Amino acid sequence: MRGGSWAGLTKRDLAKYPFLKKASEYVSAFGLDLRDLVSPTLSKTLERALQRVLDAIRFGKVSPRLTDEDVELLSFPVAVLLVSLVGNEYLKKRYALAEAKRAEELLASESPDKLAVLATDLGWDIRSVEVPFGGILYEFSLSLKDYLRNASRLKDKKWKLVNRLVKSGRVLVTRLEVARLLSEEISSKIEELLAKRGGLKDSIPEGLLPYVERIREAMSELKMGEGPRLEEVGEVLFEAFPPCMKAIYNALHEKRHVPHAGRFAFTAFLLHIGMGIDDVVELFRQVADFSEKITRYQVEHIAGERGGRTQYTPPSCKTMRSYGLCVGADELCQKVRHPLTYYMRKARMLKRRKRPVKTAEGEEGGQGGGEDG
Amino acid sequence: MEEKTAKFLRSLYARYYASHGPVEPEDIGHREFAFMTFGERMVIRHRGFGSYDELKAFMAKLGPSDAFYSSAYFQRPDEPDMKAKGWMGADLIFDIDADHIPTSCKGEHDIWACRSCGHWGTGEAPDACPRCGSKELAELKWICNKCISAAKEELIKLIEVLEEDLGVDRSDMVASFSGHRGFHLRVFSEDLRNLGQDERGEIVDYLAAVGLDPEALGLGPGAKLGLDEPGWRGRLAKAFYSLLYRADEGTLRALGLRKKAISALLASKDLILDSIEHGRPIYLPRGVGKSSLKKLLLACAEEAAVKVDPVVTRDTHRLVRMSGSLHGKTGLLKVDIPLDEVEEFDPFSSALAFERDWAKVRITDSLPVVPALRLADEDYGPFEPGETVELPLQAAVFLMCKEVAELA
Repeated sequence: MRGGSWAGLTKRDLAKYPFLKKASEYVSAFGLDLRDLVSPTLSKTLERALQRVLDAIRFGKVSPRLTDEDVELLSFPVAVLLVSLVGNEYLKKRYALAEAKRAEELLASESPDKLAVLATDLGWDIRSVEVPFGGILYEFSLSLKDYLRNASRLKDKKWKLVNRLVKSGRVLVTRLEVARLLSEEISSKIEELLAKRGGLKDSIPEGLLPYVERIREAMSELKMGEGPRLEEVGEVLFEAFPPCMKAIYNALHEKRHVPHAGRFAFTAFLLHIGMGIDDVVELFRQVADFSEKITRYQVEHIAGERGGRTQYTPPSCKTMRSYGLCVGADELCQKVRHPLTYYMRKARMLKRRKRPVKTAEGEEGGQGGGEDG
Repeated sequence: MEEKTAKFLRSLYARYYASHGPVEPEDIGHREFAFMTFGERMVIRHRGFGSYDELKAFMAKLGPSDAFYSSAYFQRPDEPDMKAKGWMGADLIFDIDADHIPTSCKGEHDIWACRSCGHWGTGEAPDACPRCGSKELAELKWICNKCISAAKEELIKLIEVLEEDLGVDRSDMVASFSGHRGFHLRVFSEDLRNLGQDERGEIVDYLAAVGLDPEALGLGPGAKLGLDEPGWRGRLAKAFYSLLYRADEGTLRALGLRKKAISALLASKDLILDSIEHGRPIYLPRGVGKSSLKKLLLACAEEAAVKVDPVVTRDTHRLVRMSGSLHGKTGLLKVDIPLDEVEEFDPFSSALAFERDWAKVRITDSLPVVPALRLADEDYGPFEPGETVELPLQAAVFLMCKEVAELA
């Protein structure tokens, strides 16, 4: 953690965690030339790099096997380069996550001292403590900002700050929790790396092109990154609305009070699932206390046609919950973090179901949110 | 508001800014400024100022009804396109609005009246007039010491939790009276400046005990709980202790506990209090199980929660009223309050801007009565519709800003 901490990292550690600062220093010093195609180290490195990406595509996790430390270490930046050359946003996310999962598995069996060294390398303010509480041993305390940056992306209620032991800006965490939070840090670090490599396309060594092609093939075999997007879902399906949006719709419909945040969320939601501004204004005309001028202004603002020109995205499930707009989750809610994801999945499910047999429909009818007044 | 009144207020505010100016915002060059005006309620946004003098001169010329600056720091604050502004971080801000805290006085001094049939009532306005169904309602929200005290209590809790639990340095916090019905707290900390929406949301949820799960905190039957434990465990312990200490059948029934559990709790009150005092496993008598304990703890969480507006804190692009500026709805100043003086702070004597002069105003007839007002230890009103009165300037401005009086 402190002065002599670098001594705490071996070459094997760098091979296990090739995204560390120290690891990239090692790679630069090694000076691998990507055009030197006859180099045996390069060909092994390229193979392992390809394997990393293919593992990510097929299994969602890079295998943590470790044969040659140099190859393992060098193959990471090469894999990052390959992924950015493919240039698919979905792949970038999936690859970052797959590397993070590999790392998490390795981290889970590290000693507390080693975990602290690794976390410090990644920029965390982490301290070793020893606090037993309710049968659990907390071995670390983390600074609030390091905790929040990583834990706020996790869904389980145990990660919510309100359910943690917090004192003077330090959050107590166990060893396994550190491993989990580090893997979040790692996946965002790798996403950042991938975003930075975005502009390198001009100087691709030709030897890499066949590898890029292999990755593209593997993706298309699995139809990856071609999932239906919102706009392809087509018409607006009221049946596919998540419970929170249905509740807001019903409240508006019954002329009950809907707080500003609720109207905002609903409007942004409707615009995102493909309703036009006029349709949204029309919907509000039918259901709510209505001033056309104000409504139109607000809807246009949310659509990004006015004011700051930002097109607003509806709030995530987390935000909906903290605004008190979440009405309780159904089964599908458990699997998503965003009302839009819910809608997309549900719409897809409904469409699939409709194709073969026309099954009994929900009482709302299938034509979309604006049909009844 | 009549144009004559608007013009009067515009020039009054302009003169005030010419001699006083607002408190200089920190890092003025990276802030976006926004203003509103009296009368036509124009909104001026995306303004940047290179220096304090430039800002002051602008306000002295415009006489804005309300003046705001961004909690965010921007590379190019005067860019109209939010994306092009270059967000560099934002102060962490909290808004405590007496409006959101239920107090008994609202039923006494908040009034609404139907513009078409004249029917009226007190408290919060309904969506439509219960007599004629019209949605054209005039609404008046008033402030008094009770509302302010309730909001102050939340502010004190907020400062305490931020300091004790979240480790925010007191020297990084600035508390202020908003000029209307509430308080703001701004945190200027390099450490927290880069938090995103979700991270700020976690802080709000922490304060407001949203998503608190006693079991996730290790609090089931048989769990130990001590008064000086960190975080929400300690807060729950204190709240549980005091809830139980003053509990009677009525309060426990209101929490939805069953009869058997209530009598068991009351019978072994001392044993339970004793177990918490000594940090031993919570003593739970027969008849009080997991679900009763959970109900009790959630009621404690609700009681100890800090009532901040979640929307304001989550927003990383929020506009905040400037300290030392006048509020357009009251004519009171937004003033900063030293943290250790919050308790005794009295906005009705410390947020006054206009000391001399008098003005003659005519009370409008949109409402059946305008409630009394207490400023600098003097009482004014209540006022009758149509009445013309001569008042000290601060009181007259208050009534005109509230749109219940016009310049006579």
